[in-house]
Amino acid sequence: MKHAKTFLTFLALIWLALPGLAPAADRTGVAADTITIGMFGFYTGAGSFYGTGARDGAMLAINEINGAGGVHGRKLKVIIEDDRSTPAGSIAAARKLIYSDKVFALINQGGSNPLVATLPILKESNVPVLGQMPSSPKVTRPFHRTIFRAASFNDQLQGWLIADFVMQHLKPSRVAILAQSDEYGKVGAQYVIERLQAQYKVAPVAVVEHDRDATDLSAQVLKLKETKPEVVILYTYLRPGAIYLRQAKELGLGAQVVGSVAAGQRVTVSLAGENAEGAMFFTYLPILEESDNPAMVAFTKKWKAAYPNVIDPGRPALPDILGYVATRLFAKALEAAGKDLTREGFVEALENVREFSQDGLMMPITFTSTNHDGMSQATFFVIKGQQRQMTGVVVGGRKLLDEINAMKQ
Amino acid sequence: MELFLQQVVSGMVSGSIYALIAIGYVIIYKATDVVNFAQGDLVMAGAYTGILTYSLLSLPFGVMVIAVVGVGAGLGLGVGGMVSLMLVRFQSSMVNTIIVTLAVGIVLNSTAMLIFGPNPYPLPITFGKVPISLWGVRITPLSLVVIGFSAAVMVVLSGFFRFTRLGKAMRATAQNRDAAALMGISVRKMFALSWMIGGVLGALGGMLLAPLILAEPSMGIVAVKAFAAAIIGGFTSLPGAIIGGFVLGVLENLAGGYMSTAFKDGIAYFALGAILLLKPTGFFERRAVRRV
Repeated sequence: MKHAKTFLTFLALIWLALPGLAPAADRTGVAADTITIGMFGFYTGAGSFYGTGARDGAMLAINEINGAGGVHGRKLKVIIEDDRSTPAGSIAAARKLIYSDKVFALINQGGSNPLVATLPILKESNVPVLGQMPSSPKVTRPFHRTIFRAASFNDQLQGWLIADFVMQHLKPSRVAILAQSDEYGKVGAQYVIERLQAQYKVAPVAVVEHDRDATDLSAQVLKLKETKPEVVILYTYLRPGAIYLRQAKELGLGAQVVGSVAAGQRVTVSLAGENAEGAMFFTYLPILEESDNPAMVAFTKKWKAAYPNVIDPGRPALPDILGYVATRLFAKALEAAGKDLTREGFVEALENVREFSQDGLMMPITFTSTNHDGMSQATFFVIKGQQRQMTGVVVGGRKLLDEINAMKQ
Repeated sequence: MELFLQQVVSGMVSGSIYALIAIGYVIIYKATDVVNFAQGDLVMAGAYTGILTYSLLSLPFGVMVIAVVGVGAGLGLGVGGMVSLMLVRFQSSMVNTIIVTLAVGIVLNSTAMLIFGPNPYPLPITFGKVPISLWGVRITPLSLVVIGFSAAVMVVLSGFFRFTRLGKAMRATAQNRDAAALMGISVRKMFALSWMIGGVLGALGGMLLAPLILAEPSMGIVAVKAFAAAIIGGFTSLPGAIIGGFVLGVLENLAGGYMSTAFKDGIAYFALGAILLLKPTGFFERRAVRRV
């Protein structure tokens, strides 16, 4: 009897303590009328074209959402930090937003190089992160529950798809690669080479690198020219890509150009002029920014109304659309997570996003509990008569992405 | 051989621009003992002035050049004025003064970002689309104009310093300020003229660069290479700055072509270090010997 009483008392104590033993739901950054979001990216420096575009697109979405009353009555309060296109800047920005500003979640609009350096801090903090720009495979592999890539393309998949497109549609016997010497270019080129060798038993005749901030690529062009390639794959940013197109023409390198998404933007046509004739680029926009598609026209109209002082005729561009669509997705997941908003609930809501494309502005984005790479489909455009035209070739798909995720890390 | 010549010719194009910007550094330093860390952003200002006048406002080429010279002169005078204020009025240290030039550079950079945004802009000057082929070496009319224009500016400057009264007065001030003042030369005016010329050279460098590398707010980083070129030549020697510029441009290309393209930019600085180990004052700087 005495032992039974002791045992029952012990059970009662355990039962009372259970709620305290369970992990508390994390509501950091959630107030009665606001949700604090941190946004950091490369708004200055080499990647500023991409970062500022994504930021402007994101803020357009945020202002629309707040104008319509916010998410479950809470307005989105955004704190923005610039990583200056550097790893040190990205780490400092993330630390400040997580530990000083105590944000609910993060939107990253930086490059692969800076974000990869920041991943240990992000993973340790368990703050949900929605990447809108970084394309390095390391962002989502090894898998981490709180890190998602919404609207930029996993470089491993992009590298494979570029290789597939070149070999299946252009069928060259000699392929060369020009890649930026940072994380973005090196990793992209690595996967192009891997796919060429594994799937097509083809080795590139040259793999040539350049510094991310390079302003003269004549040495690189001459090195490529020596190997007489039929196709040159560019895995580089916008400005070096445009410089390559000019110098290749000047120095008599007539190889067909197939470039990654970063090199092929709306403004490439005006930057490279006639030198861009015939060049093809990877894109994950199903409709081009300058098209008269009603959804794109409507987006352009509201973007120009929001940013009337931007004189650049090449905007809005892909980064603006990417920032807008990915932030709309972010808000949709906040909505789906319910009024009793927690970080865990938000992560679950993100993992239930299926085929999100915001009026068809981007290729559809899908997340699952085991795959946090949102995009898997892409296409290519070609520049003809100083106009961009879609090739109509759609590449990729979830099957290929699942194959990549199943590979040993 | 053809490949070697092509690398050299391509290197001379960028080298001529490094030389132009390097001369700006040297002129300012010789007259005022101040290293102008805003020189790169003066290059950027020149590029954007060219884009604004020629591309966006469709003004003639000659008007663009005048505008670029005007902006370069104005900004150079402005930076020089601030430096004088720091040194003379506030008796500030040289370090603080140099920080002022850095600050001006940041302000110029941010202004360009605000007005034009981060996108690269083209300056579509070509002088003809078909490259010229000489002994198997290809060079575009634009590249020839860049080399020629830079060379012409250097010749004009050389003539200015050697044969004009004002040029001689500037040289005298650079050699010995006190003696120049005693001879009736306005040292203040010579300082101002040096800053003006330095600013003009930077802005013209930017105008020539923009058609080649596209303008964006961070393009002023190219002045770091011009700085290295000035050091290679000896930081107070005008001929040294010119030769340093061409040597650096050609060396970069040869290193990229025959060693590694990934380190094309880095190899130039490695060479700078090596040259300074062999001759710390640069190739053309004469070490001042004080007899006691």
